[in-house]
Amino acid sequence: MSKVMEAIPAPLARWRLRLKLAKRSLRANWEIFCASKIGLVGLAIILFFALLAILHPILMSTLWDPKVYDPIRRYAYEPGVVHPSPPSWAHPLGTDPTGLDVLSQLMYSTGSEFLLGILAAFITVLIGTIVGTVSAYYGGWIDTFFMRLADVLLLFPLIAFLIVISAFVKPDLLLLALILGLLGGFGGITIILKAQALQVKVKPFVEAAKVAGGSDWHIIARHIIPNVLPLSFLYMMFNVTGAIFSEAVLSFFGLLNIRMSWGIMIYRARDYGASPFVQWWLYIPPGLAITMLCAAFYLVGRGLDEIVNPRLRKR
Amino acid sequence: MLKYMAHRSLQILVTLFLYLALVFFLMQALPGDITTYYVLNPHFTPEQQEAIRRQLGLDQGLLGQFFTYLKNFFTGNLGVSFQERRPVWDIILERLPRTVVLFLTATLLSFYIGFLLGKIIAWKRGRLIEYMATLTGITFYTAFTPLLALILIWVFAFSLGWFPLNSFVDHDLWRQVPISSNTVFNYMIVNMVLLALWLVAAHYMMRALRPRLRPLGYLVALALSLGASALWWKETGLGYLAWDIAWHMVLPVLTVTLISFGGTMLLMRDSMLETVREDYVLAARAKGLPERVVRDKHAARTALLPVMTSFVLSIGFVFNGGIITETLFSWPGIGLTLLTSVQGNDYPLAVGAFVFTGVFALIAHLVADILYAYLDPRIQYE
Amino acid sequence: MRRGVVVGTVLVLLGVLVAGVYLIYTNPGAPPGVPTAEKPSAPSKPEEKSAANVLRVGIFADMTTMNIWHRLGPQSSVWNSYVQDVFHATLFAPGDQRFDWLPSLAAEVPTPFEEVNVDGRTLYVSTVKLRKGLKWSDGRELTAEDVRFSFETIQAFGPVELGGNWPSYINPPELLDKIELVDSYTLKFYLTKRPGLSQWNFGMMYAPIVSKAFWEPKIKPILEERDNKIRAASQNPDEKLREAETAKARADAVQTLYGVDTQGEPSIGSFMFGKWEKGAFVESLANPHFALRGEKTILYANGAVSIANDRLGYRWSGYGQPQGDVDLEITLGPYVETVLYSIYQNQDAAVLALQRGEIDFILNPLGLQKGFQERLTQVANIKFISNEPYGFRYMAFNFRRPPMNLAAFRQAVATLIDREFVTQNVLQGVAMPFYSFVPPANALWHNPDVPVYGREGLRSDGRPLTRAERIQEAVRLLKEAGFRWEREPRVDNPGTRDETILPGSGLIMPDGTPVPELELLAPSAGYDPLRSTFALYIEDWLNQVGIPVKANLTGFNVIVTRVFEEQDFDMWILGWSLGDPSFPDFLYYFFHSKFAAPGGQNAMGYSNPEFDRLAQEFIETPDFARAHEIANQLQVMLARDLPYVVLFDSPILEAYPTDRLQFPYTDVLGGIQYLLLTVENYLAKIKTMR
Repeated sequence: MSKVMEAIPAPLARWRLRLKLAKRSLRANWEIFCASKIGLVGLAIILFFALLAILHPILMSTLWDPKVYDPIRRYAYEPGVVHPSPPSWAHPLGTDPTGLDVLSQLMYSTGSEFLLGILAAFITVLIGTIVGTVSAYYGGWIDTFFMRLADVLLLFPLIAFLIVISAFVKPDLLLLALILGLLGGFGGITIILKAQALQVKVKPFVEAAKVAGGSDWHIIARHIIPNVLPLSFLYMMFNVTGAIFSEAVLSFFGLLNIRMSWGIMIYRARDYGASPFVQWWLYIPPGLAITMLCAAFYLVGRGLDEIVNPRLRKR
Repeated sequence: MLKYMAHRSLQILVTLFLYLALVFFLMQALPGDITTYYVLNPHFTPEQQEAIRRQLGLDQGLLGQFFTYLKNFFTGNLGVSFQERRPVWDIILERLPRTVVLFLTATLLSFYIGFLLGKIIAWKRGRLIEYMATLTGITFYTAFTPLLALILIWVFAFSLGWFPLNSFVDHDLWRQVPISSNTVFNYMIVNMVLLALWLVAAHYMMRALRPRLRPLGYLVALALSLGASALWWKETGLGYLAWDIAWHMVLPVLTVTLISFGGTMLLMRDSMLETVREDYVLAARAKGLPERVVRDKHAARTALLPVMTSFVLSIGFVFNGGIITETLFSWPGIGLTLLTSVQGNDYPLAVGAFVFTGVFALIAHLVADILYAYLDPRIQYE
Repeated sequence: MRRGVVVGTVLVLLGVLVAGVYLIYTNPGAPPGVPTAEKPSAPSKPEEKSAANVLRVGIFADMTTMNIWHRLGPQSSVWNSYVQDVFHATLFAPGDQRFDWLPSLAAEVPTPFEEVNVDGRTLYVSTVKLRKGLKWSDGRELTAEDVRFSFETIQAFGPVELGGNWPSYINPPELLDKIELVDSYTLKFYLTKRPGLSQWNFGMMYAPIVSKAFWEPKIKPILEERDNKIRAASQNPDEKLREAETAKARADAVQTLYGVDTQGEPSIGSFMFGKWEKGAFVESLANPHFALRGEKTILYANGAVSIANDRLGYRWSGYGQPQGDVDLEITLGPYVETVLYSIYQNQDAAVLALQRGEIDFILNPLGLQKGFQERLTQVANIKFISNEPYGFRYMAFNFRRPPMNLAAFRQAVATLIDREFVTQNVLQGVAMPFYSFVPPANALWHNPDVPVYGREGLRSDGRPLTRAERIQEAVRLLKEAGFRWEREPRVDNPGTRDETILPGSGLIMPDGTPVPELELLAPSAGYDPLRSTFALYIEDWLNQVGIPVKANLTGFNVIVTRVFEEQDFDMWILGWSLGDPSFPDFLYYFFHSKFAAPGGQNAMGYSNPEFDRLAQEFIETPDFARAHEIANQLQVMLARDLPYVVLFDSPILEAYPTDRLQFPYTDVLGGIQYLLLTVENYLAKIKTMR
């Protein structure tokens, strides 16, 4: 009886134990993270923007008439209103030169900024982690090749390179995320993660796993990657910042095939010739949004840094 | 050490080759390049199109073209710009001084400020000043650059009228003089390089002085170098022109500095926090040396290493210029060249500018490695 | 300790060496280490040129060349034209406002073509007389030699090989047989055919004239080298290779010509080159020898024109008796001694400079945007001028693919597009709707009586159709042609507050196949926010009736490549600036089926034999009245066949400070920018895709 009890739920028990451990380490890390107020500020800003993104479709289907508030096309005719109009009850952040509601544009774009930033960062970290650990584990020509490739990608002036590409192919959001992810993934991040993986590789438990006859892939996946992951996660935050910023700059030069984004909002205001002091509502909301969301992910990254890198913690 | 440098140089050569290959195949993959531009021009008969293909080496197949391109690169032939019908090399040389003067100044300034602030906030760990400096630094670091530049222009150049609105020279002043601005830019670069070298040299010569006299020695050296520069500019008669350029540089340099000092500051801070725990710093403290001396002489010197590396790498990227800064301040350097060449389908110019800037970044890479090896006593190279 | 001193000294020496090498390399003229050598050239007081009488103008791109062959070639840019067109002149030029065909360098209207027999061939000859006393800016006189040299150079390199605008000056290349000099001021043009208006009046007579004294020594070696290469190539036994090498030699020669340094080239126009500080500004100086300065041109209400030039003792009149009411009297400038073109990399900076009074005018082919106008209203003494553009932005179809090849489909699409809604309601008047292929601003050639789908036909009161009516009309047109839907679009409660549009889906073509997913290529907001806005609305409107179209907002280069080179597209949106209004030859070049091959302007693949026949006649007829009649017919055919749906264009809005600038008149097609320097400026009026 007891044998059966032991035999069947063993994997479950192991799983439960793992979960418990994870929970405990998560709580410990959360406390460290909370100690750095900077990270908390960042997290709060991110949550705020996430709320904006979620609210947009809800508002569009309830309070806001799509004929008036659609962020891309507007069919309503409001007699006597000259666009761009300053903030009012109907349009809390005013309207743009073609009469589109600025708040609606801002909230609509938030979702795509998140999508772009997180997708690009995810691709980067995915590639970076695999390439970094594999290079560290195998060494040799694989290592040499990927490290040289990383060197090369580091040489590319990123914005200039993106401008070259986008002038020819006009990427949309997903393609841009893919390009950014690939450039980042094979770029500098592999060098950092490889260094980390090298430190893990020489730890006794890896040796033990090897002696126990674990296959290469098993060792990489089960032992090395989990120990590199925290650092990967940290760099993911910085990559989100980079991706959002890149999108904004490219949109500012009008180089992307995107219908609406914060960068495009600023581009359109500038093309129309709006003054940042008079028609401030065309510049300040998107400009502030870009800066704040970029800063927020960066701050969270700094906060995580203190967890990953204990030397930075307070004495 | 020599062996290490040789090994590194070889690696760099491999990287250069990879870089060239990547740029080449990338440009091949993109639509709207030279091939379609010329070969599909309806004004050419099929025979003429064939001739142009041959002339451009397009009949050799991809690999053949790649080797031609490599050969051209190593013989210093970057091709002829479509838009301007001038050698790409000439165009790059023409725009380079403007970019170098602006971004070299801005890079030096932002690193110096970042270094100073980083040193201070690491020492004031956990105090209000650290949070303030960090938040300010990060805000500027992640600020949307074009908007920041726009606001600076609006406030300082337009509303207050303190600085020129844009461009790199005063047009009314310069239309009166028969010389080109590049002459002055080149003199400025030479002046900056000489100044830097002289200061480094003075630093070494100071070792011959007694420690107490050294601060005075530095002051004298600085005064001497500034005096010599002033005399030189007076002697050339170009002083007022150089001053005009410097005046136009203020706002763009301010923009770039504001945006980038935060990165250096945080790097310096982190690096300081790590060195503070090293034994020799603790020992210095235990000896009862004044905090300032420990901070500046012991901790900061070692902590400077990663900052130096990052600085050298940034110098490599000085040659890229900045597309945003150059556009908003009408400062036509390498960055703007890249943007307009790409927008105008000027394929040889775009590739040329791209390859050129990459090579400089690569050299900086090598220098940073060697410098690191040279400066960090903890690293041993077999 | 000693080591430090040694290292220091070595570093200093190294620095001096590096500096020296650098200076030698970058300034060949300035010896290194002896900077005083620069001294004589650097003036100590910048007071040599007066600051008064300077016109300060903002432009948005640097010159790409100062070489006229390159400038009018395939890489032509409007910025080059703004600055450099006034350095050159033409035999004839379009007059002010009415675009009369008036003598410029020529003294009088050429003699009518006579048939002559030369060496057994039939040629057509006309005599052209030059004015006497015209001078280049270097003081040399302009003679018939310069004119002949200009044409011969175009022919020697080949107008087609020169590319860009050159083919329109001798079209086709074999048209011009030879030019004979009768005396220093008289030339005889021998042509192989009796030329049409566009070939002679608005072609050859509009070609720029260059200085033989300056260009001959530069061009001779290029042609010699080319001929040597061709001779060498002719030894090649392989015929294909021989042809290829010959063609390459010819192409190479053109490239060399494009690259010739034109420092010191004399000007025949009102201004001449001063200084070019690359990336910052270009300075032009009034040409002291400009013989047309002060020339009076009077346009009479009865259509007559008279020209009087006291300096040359020259009088001319034409188009009737110069008497009665005067429409316009122009005295040719220049009125300033210096023009300073400041280069701004963005429009914002230029407007700020205008606001601060640092510049007097902004040259911009698109004019000022509305926001800039608002900002400038606060400037004292500023005056705004709005002018009609001579161009249009359009949507076009690929006739090679169904369903775009069906007239009913194109007509339904045209019906669905509500130009007025977008221009008035969305764009708020920054754009105006266009319906005809010759813009109404060109009143002489514009035909207002063309069918316009969706504007008239259903309503008699002239009110634009409502959305519901457009959908019903489009559905009717499609149904009549045999289209079917899986679910037909429907409008419930039309005309009431509860009007709802139930979009259709599953559109099936008359042959029973479903309409595939279609792509509408349009410029992104980065290139033109107006067109991208239009594209988004068109996408929505077509989707409402079940036409599955998706707007692809992309780059100008991408569109041009896919449409004009690869011809791989369904529909696209772009625009044209139509250039010289005196003769709308674009009706031929854009729509004749002979230009439907890849690279041609007729990328639609529009082919209508009746249209082709008339267009051909249009381009070849020497009879003005006949040309006019044909132009009207062509416009009607195009409006019915709809290779393009002409959408809109935006008026050119400009501003100038009245205390610093004056214009003889401000009603100018394309904007007062064309009046800025001298009153006649033909070369700036060249067709460009935008």
